[in-house]
Amino acid sequence: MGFLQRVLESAFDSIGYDVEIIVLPGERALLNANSGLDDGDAFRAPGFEDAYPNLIRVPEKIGVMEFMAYSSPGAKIGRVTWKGLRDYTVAYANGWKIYERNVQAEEVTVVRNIKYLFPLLEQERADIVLLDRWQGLYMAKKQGVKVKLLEPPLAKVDMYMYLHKKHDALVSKVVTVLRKMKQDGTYDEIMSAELEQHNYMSN
Amino acid sequence: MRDLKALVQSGMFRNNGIGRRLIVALILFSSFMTAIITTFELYLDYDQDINGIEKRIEFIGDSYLPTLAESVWVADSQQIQTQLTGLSRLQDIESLVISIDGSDRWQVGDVHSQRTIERSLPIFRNYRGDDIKIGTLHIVASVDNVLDRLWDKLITILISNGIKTMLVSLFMLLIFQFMIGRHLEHISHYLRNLGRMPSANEKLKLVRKEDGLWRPDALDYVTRSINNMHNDIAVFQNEILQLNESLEQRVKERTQQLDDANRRLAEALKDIEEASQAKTVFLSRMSHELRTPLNAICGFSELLLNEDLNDDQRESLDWIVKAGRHLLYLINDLLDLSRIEVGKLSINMQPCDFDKLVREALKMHQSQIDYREITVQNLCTSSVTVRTDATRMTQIIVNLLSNAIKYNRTGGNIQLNCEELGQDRLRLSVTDTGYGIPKDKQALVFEPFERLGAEQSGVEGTGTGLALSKHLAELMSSAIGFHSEIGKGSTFWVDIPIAKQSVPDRLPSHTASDTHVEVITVLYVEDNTANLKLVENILKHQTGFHILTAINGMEGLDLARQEKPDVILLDIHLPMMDGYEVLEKLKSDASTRDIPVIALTADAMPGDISKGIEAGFYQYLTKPFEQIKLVNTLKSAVADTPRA
Repeated sequence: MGFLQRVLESAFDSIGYDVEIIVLPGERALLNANSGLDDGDAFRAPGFEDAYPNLIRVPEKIGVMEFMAYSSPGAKIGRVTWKGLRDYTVAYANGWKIYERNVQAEEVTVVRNIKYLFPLLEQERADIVLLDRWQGLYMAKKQGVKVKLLEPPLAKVDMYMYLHKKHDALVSKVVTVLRKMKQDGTYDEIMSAELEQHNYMSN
Repeated sequence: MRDLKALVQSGMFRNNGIGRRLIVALILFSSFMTAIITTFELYLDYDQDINGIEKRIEFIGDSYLPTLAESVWVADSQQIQTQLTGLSRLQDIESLVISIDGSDRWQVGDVHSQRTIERSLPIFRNYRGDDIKIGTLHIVASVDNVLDRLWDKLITILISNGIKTMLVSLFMLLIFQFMIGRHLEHISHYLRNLGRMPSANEKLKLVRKEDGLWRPDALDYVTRSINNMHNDIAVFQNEILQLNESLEQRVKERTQQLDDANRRLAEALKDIEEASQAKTVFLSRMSHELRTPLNAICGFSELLLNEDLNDDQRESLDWIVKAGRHLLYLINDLLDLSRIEVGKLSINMQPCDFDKLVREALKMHQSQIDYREITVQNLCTSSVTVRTDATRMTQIIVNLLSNAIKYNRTGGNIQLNCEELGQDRLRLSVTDTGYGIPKDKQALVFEPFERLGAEQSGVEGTGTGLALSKHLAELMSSAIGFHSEIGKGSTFWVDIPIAKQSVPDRLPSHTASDTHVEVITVLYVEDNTANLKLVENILKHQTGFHILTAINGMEGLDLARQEKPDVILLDIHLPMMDGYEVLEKLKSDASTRDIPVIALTADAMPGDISKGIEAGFYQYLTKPFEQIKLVNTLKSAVADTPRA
């Protein structure tokens, strides 16, 4: 999360806004942004526009979401695909549509919060836990759980920011800022710093 | 069961018995109460159930909404579905829907019921210090379910109450029958047969156990009262019987007394009748005795009038004849009046031609009418048959005419008028032009011997005519009356019943003028020489008569057989053999059988006359007779007799 927060703080700071990032359950973030309770959804894969008509996509990619599979460090599991999950007991968190659509495993555990995922690995109640790269690494570090990241990702999705339509005037400004940050190296700089920190952490 | 059978068969249940009415009342009342109570109960149940639904919804709001809010906050569909499914299991909750911003997101259950209760509960969650609405829980509860349960309950109540009512009714009836019904039946039966019981000895007694805790009740009082009443009735009956007996005895006594009184009355009546009879016989004898000499006086006086007399002599003789006639009328009227008074005057009602009666009466007065130079106008010319006694009606008409002549002025008028009053009465009016009758005297007109001051006027009369006429009219179902005006005259009228049938046909009677001019031989049988002489003299003065005389019946019979006279005049009171015996002998002898026999006697009672006609006399003439009548009768007797 550190990466996203830094990118957004940097971007909005240059156009004169303060940014507060709140962590909410996936769908709650959409609901709150759509109802105008919050000003937008910071990090979302495209394709929800029809269900949440009040949200406007900022058409410049913020980052990439990599849907990863994690296992215990000692598990003899090599590279996995959606079909390959069929032979394992799999756990993921409630509300992750991509998993709901694609996972056809022998045994699936759906937990209410991602914090319950890695303990399942520890207690050997699940062979594989599905989570995106950034959160997985963050949670493992936070919970002090040793995990193995199974490369490559099951899927990669470009992620965008959505703003409530009351802020449509900001959309082009944010796009401009983001492109500028990518051109002048600010974006990559933030990315490198964050990766360095996580890589270190994950080892 | 035996009791139940007996109960149903008893009078209590027949037709509209008390039992039947009781059971109907019980069922009706019980049904009514059940209906009311059930309605009330069902209403309470309904209210309770609806309240239950409200409470359940309230409970969901209080207890489940916060956890549901958490699930909705994180949009945990699985959790939400689980929670909603749990809530939908609550009674009557049919559907639960969570909507967000107006669109439904999660739903459990569908709405099937037509009647529902719907509630919407807002879902709040604290977010950054504020309670914000994150959705709405829509709850639909079914009222149909409530109604279905109530319906089931109603059916159950109805069935159970029906059975309960029936059992209770039956039980109450059994109790009623045991405690009251059978005793009522017994009392009713006893009272129905009360009249047939011979005495008060058969007391009414109810069949019931009277032990231990038993105390007299209303039924015992009723029984006691009925027994007392029965006793009283028996006493009263006895008294009535005794009263009846004494009453019968009294009636018997009174009847005896009445019988005695009746017998005495009958005896008295018989005495009176005998006395009356004696009076009548006396009158009859007197009449006969008076008439016979009077006949001679009048007869010879009339005969003398035919002789050559000077005026003084003729006037004296006229007076004698008039006085004789007057005396004769007086005797006749007195006789009639006395007979009417003792009810001895017999009336023989026959149909007869009224105009003929009038003509005869007029003829009798012709000489007086001529003498007084009175003009008579007779308007009674149409033939009307009346039902009356011809002789007595003639007598009335003669009386009215006689008065009209006597009390008229010389040269005055008399008008006779006949007028039919309706269909059944004929009125004859005789109107004169006399001086009229003063108002103050009119009430006395029909009183006997009242001449209303005519004594002073010099008009002759006995004062008996109108009184007699009134009596006679009444006897013949006729009425008589008058009206009069001073200075103008009087009208006397008599109403006579019109006969239904006409006058029976008779042989055409011949008038004297029809008879042949041959000499008629008359045999006169009479013991009184004066009468013999009188008739001899009368017939001598008439042409065409030859007279034979005999002074007793035997002699008369011999003469009749020898001489075969054309007609016989026969007195009734004859020595040795009376007139009836002579007639019988004449009629039994072939040679004399066809000779007409005329009775000539002073026996002038109507009974005598009819008796004579019945016996076979051709005519019955009474003394004193008028010469012309005798002659005419003799002539018509010969004319009516067919000649051999």
